[in-house]
Amino acid sequence: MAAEIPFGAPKQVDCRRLPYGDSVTTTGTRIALAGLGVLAALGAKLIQSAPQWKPAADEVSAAGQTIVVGLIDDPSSQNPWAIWGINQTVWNSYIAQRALPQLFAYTPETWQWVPSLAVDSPTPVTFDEEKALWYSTVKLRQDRSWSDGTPVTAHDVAFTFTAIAELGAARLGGYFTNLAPPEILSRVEALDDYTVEFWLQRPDARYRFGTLLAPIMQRQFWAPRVKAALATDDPINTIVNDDVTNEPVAGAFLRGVFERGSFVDRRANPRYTPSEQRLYANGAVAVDDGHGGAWTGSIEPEGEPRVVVSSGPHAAGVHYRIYGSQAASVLALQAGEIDFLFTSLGLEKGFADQLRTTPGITIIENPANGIRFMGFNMRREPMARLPFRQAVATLIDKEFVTKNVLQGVAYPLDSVVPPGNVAWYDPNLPVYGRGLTRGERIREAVRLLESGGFSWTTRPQVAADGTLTRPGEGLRLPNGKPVPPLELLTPTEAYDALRSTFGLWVERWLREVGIPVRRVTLAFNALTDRVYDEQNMDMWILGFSLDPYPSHLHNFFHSRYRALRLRNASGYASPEYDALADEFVGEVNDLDHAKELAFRLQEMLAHDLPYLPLFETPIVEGYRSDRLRFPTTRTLDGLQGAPIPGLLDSVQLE
Amino acid sequence: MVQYVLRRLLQSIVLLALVVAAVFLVFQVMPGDVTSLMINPQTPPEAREAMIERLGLDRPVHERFLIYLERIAHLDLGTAFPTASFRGGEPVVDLIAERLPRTFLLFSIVVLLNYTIGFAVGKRIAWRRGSMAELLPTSIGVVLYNVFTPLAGLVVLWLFALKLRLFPFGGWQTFALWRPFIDRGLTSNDVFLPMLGTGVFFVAWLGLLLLATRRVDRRAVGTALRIGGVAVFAAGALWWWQRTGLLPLATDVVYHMTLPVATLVLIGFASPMLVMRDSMLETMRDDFVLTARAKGLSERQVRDRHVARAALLPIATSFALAVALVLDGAVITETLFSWPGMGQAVLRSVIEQNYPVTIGMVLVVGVAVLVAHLAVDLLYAVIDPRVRHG
Repeated sequence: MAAEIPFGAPKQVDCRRLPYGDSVTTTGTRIALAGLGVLAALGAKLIQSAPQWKPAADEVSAAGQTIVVGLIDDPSSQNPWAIWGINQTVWNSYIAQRALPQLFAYTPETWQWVPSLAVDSPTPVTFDEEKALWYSTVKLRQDRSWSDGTPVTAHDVAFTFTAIAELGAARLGGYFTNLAPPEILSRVEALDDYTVEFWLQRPDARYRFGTLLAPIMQRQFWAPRVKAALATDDPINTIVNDDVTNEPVAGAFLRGVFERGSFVDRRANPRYTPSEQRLYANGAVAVDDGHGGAWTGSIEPEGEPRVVVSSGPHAAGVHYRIYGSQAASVLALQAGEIDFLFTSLGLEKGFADQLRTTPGITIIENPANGIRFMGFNMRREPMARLPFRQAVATLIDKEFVTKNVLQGVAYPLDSVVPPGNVAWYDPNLPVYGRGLTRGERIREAVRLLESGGFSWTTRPQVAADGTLTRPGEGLRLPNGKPVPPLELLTPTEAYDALRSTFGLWVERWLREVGIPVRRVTLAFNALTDRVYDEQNMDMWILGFSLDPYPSHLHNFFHSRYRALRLRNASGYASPEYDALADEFVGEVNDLDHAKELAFRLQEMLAHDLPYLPLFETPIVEGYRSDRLRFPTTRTLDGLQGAPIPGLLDSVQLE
Repeated sequence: MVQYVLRRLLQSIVLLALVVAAVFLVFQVMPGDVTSLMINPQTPPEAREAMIERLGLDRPVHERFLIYLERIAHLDLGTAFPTASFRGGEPVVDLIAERLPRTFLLFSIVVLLNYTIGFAVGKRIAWRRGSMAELLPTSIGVVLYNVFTPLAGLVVLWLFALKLRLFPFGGWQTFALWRPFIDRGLTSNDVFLPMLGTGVFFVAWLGLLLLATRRVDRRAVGTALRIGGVAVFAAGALWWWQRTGLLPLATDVVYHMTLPVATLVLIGFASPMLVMRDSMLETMRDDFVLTARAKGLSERQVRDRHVARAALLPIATSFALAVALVLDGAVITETLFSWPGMGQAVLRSVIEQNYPVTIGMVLVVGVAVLVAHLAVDLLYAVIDPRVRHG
């Protein structure tokens, strides 16, 4: 439609408001006004029917101070079946610290194994000829109660293991296979309210260092839930997704409120029974139950205790705040928004340096209970030959890489049991190449290879000043055949820059003497598939975090575990070692003897070198020393991994 | 027209199926066994076998894919694998329902602000081409646009949270404020969803208000009516929030959003601004602009009512896609500002190869993008008959 202006009859037209728009405008305006009316009516209705929230009384703020802890990743569950099972992550462990009672526990610093819910050490594991089983009895403290006021009894203990067996330890996954291995644990019975008896298929250290450290769950709360889960198509899925907000606990803090991605808030358990661990300079340890009763180990305490770990809790609650990145959480620690930061791998160097200069913050450094190592596939040539492995070990200068290349963010390791694990570490192990210069290392490696029958087309030459004047070429096996091209598998830079860097240097040093090796980087799971599922590798660099009890001395190196998908990936097979390792894991009654055996196993591994330990990184942590006081800050795996009863139970607020 | 819409809908569905298939297959061809990431290598092999069986990973890929498609057809996105950041067996739909409102609220505000600022500044600088008024905002915008997002975020956190102590370090809640409500069973979505609702209500209200008052002859009266309308809305919204008792919590969320929103707007407004500027410059050469001027309209009327309106189409397209692609920017920002939304979940699920979660989230984004595309196509079809007729 166009406006019509007749010729010869000019008239005033308002060009800004042409007539063709008027009808549209009117309709549009009417529709808009009607719409506004509808919205207004809807708004009024919404106001009338608004939900009304009344806040509860803030009991925690009234009760006292709260410890505020930062996390840099998202815990996914508080459910103990998930935390100890398929969702076993450090973040879940942090927020559930010691919520559930354990029969035994470790001490900080010294990692001694002491009673917790138990009143004394277990009776020795003894054979019952009639039942053809082994048994051991544990007496429980009678003063421990759940947060709902009911006592913690032997029936809870027996129920826990029965439930694990019914659900299936393997299907529950995670730690459950260690806590209740069906091939070891036959059954658990409550003899009375405070005595529990464990029946075993055979004596095995997993009884002491797995079963007796298991979290105990309340029968009253969990029995109907387990029963209901077992009646479903997927019992594991059902039980791990059960809501545990109101689960009774026996730790210093209740389960609390969990807003995923934001926070976990736990309040002090008013029914918690505190206790005290005392560590003495002579190595003795005492556990005080708070009623005058004390347990001491095999060494009698002398003098004043060096460390006293007194579980409070000394705060009204603990509040975990979740951050998306380490950068943001470090700023929050600096600003005093949080008191302590859980970081799992420790603070990165830059952040630690940044925090060192902040008043009120203390930075601490502790060894990690882990190992990053180089493995040899001993099923293949030339890795099957001891002189070859010894030569490789001699060539690798761990001190140089950790100090000069990695700038001190890692420290060298010489044993498959890390030195921080003072209870089991053998400090007197032979180390290949220690203290040698580069030239001396090459000369020694050449000597070792030649002693093993290896030869070269071009023998490596080292000048008097130690400089390599001619790299080796054409390394040959004792049978005269050339050494085949070898691969050194390492994780990618993105996954672990340290291992990847180490791999570069290993490749370089090995090539200098004519070992035809090539570093290959792989995604972590691709690497583990090659190593464990396919055993299709020559040498590899991987790492593990370890348990306080070095069970890996058995299951990483015993020839029973050489098959595909099992843990002895290097294929190490020594009858002498196997016998000793069996004796080691079978020693459940005499810990001193077990320690002697562990030392001998470490010595054999240091000589035979199925694995070459390379390095580990310390756990660097920062906390607000103007707010918190820990009973000790020297402990394996740092404060966050310390077995201080729940860590936050014993921290004092300034 | 109906045929056109149906055709586009069908295309969208096919495209979505292809997206799902592509994402699913990408995870299948990634090297390594996904269960190796879920369990400690020290775990006995029987535990791993049990997990493989329970997750259905022992079945062939094509069978798994068909099962997955069947589930999607029933709007079941499956359950998460038990990896570091996700609870095994948790329905992916629950994860999305938990996280989508947070992401959508944060980024819809960012997108709205970016486009409002970009549109307003873009049309003005185009009108004053060649002057300092153009050069300055353009230069600032381009410089900020090129700043690395994590760096910008860290600088903002360092300055406003650490040094000036004006804002928090991240998250969305001051816990002491929320705790008494949480004790009553409140969840974050009890606040986020009404906030989103308030926003949607406001946009609808504002749109109708502008439509109703656009032909008011006297500018002052029109402005007064608009301000009055907004005030009525604000009063109503405040009343509602006050009645719920959640007003302090909503205010707290806004307070926590300030830094991420400010950061993203600072580094993001230049894009729509430059699109608008270019579109304006092109439109300004058209004949109808000369006609408008010849009619005696003021420069402002020519710019706002004629040129800017005609130049709006590219920016409308860009806006629709920006709303759909909020997840794109969410990955970095949510991690940095500890805002646990969809972006953070996608990032973690990809790293942990938790593909039920990744596919579920990508599917949501895919649907959003396709709906946005469809909306833009339909808009074009309505506006331009040439599109409609092929």
